Amino acid sequence: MASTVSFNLPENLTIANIHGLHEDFEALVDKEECDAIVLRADGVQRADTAGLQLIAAFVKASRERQIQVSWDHPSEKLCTVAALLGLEKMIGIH
Amino acid sequence: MSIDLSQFHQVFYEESFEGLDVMEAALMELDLNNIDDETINAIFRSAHSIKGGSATFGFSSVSEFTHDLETILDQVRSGKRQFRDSDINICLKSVDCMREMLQLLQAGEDGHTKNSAELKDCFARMLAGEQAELSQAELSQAELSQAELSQAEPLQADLPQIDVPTAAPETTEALSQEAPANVAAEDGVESIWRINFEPSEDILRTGNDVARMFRELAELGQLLSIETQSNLPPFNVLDAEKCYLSWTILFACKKDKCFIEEVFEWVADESNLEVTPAASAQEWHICFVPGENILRSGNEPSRLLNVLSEFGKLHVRVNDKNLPAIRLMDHESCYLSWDIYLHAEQALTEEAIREVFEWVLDESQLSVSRLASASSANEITAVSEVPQAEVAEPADVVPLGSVQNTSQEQQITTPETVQEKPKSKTAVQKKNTETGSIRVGIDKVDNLINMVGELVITQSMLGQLGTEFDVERIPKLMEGLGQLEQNTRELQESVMRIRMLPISFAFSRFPRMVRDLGQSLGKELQLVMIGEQTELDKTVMEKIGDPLVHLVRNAVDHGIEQPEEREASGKPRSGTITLNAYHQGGNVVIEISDDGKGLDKQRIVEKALEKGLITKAEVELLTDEHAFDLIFQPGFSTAQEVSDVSGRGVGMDVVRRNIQALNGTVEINSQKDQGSKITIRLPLTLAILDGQLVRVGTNTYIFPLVSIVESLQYRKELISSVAGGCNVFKLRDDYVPIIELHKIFSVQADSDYLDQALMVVVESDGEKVGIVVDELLAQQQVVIKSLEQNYKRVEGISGATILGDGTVALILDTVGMVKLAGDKFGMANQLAHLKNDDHQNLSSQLTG
Repeated sequence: MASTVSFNLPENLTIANIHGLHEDFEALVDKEECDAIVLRADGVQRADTAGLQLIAAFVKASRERQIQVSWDHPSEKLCTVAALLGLEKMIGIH
Repeated sequence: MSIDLSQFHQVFYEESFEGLDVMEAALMELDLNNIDDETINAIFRSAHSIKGGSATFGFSSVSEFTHDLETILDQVRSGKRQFRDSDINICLKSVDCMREMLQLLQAGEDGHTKNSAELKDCFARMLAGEQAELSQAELSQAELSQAELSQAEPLQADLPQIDVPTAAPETTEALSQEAPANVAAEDGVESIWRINFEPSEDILRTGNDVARMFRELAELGQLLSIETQSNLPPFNVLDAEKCYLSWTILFACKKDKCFIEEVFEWVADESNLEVTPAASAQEWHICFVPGENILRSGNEPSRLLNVLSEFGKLHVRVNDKNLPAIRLMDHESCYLSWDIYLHAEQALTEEAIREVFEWVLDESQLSVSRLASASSANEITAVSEVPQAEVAEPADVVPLGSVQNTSQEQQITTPETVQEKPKSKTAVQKKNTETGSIRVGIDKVDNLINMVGELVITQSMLGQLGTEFDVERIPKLMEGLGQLEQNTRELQESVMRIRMLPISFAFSRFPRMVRDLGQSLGKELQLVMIGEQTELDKTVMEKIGDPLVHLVRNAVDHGIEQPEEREASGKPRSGTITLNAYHQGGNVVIEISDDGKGLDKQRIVEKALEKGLITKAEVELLTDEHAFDLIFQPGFSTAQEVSDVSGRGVGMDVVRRNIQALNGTVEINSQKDQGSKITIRLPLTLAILDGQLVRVGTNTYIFPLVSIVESLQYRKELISSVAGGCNVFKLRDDYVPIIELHKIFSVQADSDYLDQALMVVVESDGEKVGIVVDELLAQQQVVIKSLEQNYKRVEGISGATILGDGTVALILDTVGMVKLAGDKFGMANQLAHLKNDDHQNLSSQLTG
């Protein structure tokens, strides 16, 4: 049966704070019964290249495993940095 | 037998670059009111040597160029020509130009540049008796930035133009690079237009054929490029009668805008049509491949892109082909690279773009190219318009060759067509780095040979002992081993000394830079350099150059006031910037001070509050030192306006990070209206350190031996307590503050009773401090390993090393320890707790 996992992104999506997130993402893409992941990103206040790059790798890994990734209210800050880095399309954020 | 001259090329380049440095320094020294013959002779000799060498190796571009310059200098030398200020400017430009030519030759390219051709014309006119001038306009920011980096980067072919008042009008027009291209149509001058055409979906149904419109356009002028954006639906739902395409066209013609709009007259109502002059805009393609460790050094690509976006619209394409699987990736490494298309509405130079990346150039690959309109059809096909909101697929572009038109023979006199594509500097720079070498004084080499001689004697003595070994000869063996140790140490010191260069290598760029900045900003400046012979490791020297440039530029731009303002406040019109270097306690200290307006604490605090860096509650507790420290926060800038020189808020944070990466520190002292002083402390070398091992509980720490003044037994009767919780020790006539190492690092000592402890008196920042430890161990040389690269930066620790028994010992940073202790007793208790967590984590990891 299809299941959707909702995942809250942290307030600081920056190089200093993503160690735990990396592990969470790895666990998430390995979750067998997961078909879709919703990234809740309304609380993201800071984001940098390392953070966005990790998201990109996560989205890529999810797609390879046929897991659909969608966004729930991505914060303006997150969208701005994604646009600056040209990653909007890759991570499917608008 | 023929000799392969190429084996001498490298020596020629090195000598020529040195000669150019001599020329530049001598030109800067030249006093026009009292021209010193020896200075002119030095300039002439350098030019002459470069000419001779280049002619020998067949580098005719350089030898011909230098020949003309030499002729002019000879006239000055013999008193036939009067040297004027404008002549110095031309000579300085020539130095830059020769540097560029030599770098191109070194990279295996042709040495001819547009710049050299123009300067040669200028020489010809000078020799013909005309007085050539460099106009003030030529001291544009582009040149300015270039001049600042003159040591490392040559002038670009597209930068300086020689403004010749006697030139024919059409020549001047052709050279005027930033003249608007949309000149009135009546003049019959060709203009370049950007046409954005987004037709309605039904345009085809109504019988309007886009291809016909484009043919009509081609009859009016020249279609330089056509970029197509598609919004095609899946094939099974595609309606063949609907139009899903839109276009961006670069179009050159002599007609007015209304003639272009007329072509689209029948569809204008149902379409989006924009016809704008394109010539004032510039399209740039920037390819940025950052080094993998860029994120670790705190250089954030999104910030660079953000700065770049201030120049105009960006279209960013990210390349993720190196992004590994999430499980394999190191989230602190950078695997992405970027293709950036910049649509700048204003005139922009390659240098201005490169400057944005100046801190990351060493570890990244960067190519910047301007997309020309007509001259480089292939490049323009890459992209033209830079939509911000959408990420377009690579454009389908009609190749220029397929567009027929009647006016292809016309010459277009817009900047984009007359401008040559700048030659890639990246390759030149890369080549230079790879072939780097150092000149070593003969005394250092002689010393090294002596050391090796000693080593050979010791080796032969030990060899003899080995063959005729007897237990009775053990004392002899021990003596031999002791001698071997001494020889090894001396040899090592001699080798290390070879890498030491006087700091004048880093300082030498500043006289020219300060002069050019002063001219550009209308400020009167005086540069004082002290301690230029202070020696520093070559690697440290190379890495400190850029931070120093930034700090000096900041001092000129933000520190020194305008002459009138200075006079009004009772200061001399001319501002002074002082660079001072000296050795202190195993470190090299570099001070950059100015007598300008100083830092405005109030403004810094306001800005920090505005940016959320501090809270209102913290403001009251903020000391001057902490307030000034805020300017090192990322993105912090109090500059009212972003100037060409500084003020974008990228820089000071990167300055500090780059200095910290060298295990150095940076501090600011400033007094309003008195000036500022920035003090940088750097280790002499990054590789090896003489250390005193000490033990605290189960942990071993290392003091740099040079920082130790003396060691003594802790005696309770000589201790006094002072307000604030700090104890002091009476050391002869001095009172020395005491730091208990186990307390600041939160580790367990042998005993809390200090009577049993030892105290190491060290020099920190010119002051003595007593550090309490449990035991003094051996003295030995240790190889420094970076803690930042292997763990993270920890206050009070400058690095780590691996001891003979395989355990890790931490190298103490005395200045950091004092700060840490100060924080503990001072206002930043919270900060100290945070730092204590770092130390506890580190200690627990080391003890397993």
